[in-house]
Amino acid sequence: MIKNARQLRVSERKRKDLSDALEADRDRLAAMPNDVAQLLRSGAESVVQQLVDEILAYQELSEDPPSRIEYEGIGELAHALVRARIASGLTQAELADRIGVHENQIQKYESTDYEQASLARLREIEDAMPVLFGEARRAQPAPRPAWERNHTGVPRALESLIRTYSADPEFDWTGFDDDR
Amino acid sequence: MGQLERVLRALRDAGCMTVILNGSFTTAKERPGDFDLLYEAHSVQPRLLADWLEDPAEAGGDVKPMHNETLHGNQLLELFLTDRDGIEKGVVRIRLSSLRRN
Repeated sequence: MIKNARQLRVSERKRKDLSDALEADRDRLAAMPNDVAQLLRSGAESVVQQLVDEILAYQELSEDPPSRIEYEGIGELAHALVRARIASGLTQAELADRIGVHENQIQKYESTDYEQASLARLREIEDAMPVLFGEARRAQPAPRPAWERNHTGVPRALESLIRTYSADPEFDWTGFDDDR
Repeated sequence: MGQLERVLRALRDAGCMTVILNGSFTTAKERPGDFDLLYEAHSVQPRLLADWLEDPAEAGGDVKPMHNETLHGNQLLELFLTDRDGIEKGVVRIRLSSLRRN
């Protein structure tokens, strides 16, 4: 994953150098047995494609950032944090400045997939980034069928009232005791 | 390490003599994950290569051929020998003749 503008430039150069070299090898490959040439060509082309994919992913994230970065599970957390920083338009130095650490610290976190970062530090970083960031909603349990919902013993019109009251800590219960 | 050893044996069986290993096996990360591997292809017989070597999910990493008498082979090697910032880094070269026989 490309994490900053410098890495973008390096990847673009590597992609161009590899593509140019493959093109310059045309005669050399033609002189080899077909199966060997095919093996070499497809191997190199797949590396070029990987570089192109990474370059496009970085450009899309920085030029057309999503409003929310989601991840599924802790295993994706580190990459999602980097993506959220890029989508927020922050450099590693700017993020470091926002949380009061040296730029090297953010570089180290990102190059080691945040393995040594504390939970408290991860929260600081999350708070420092304007792009919303969070775990993707996991699959919800299937809703109960309508016939089951309609036979809970509580009239449906009242169900919504019950939820409203219990979710509202400011609800004024004065007078309810009087009815008991 | 089992998956990597399986890859190395499959490459040796196809005639490969040397590989260059990159990726988190060669870094200080706490949980070594997948790897990138470049194998020298000049002695390899493609028809003996296992199909699954091309599938990173099955091989446990990216496995790519390189021929050191080609320009693009040297570019691939340079790609391996520098990190994402373009800074040189160490990699591991493994002679497959040193693998234990089954």
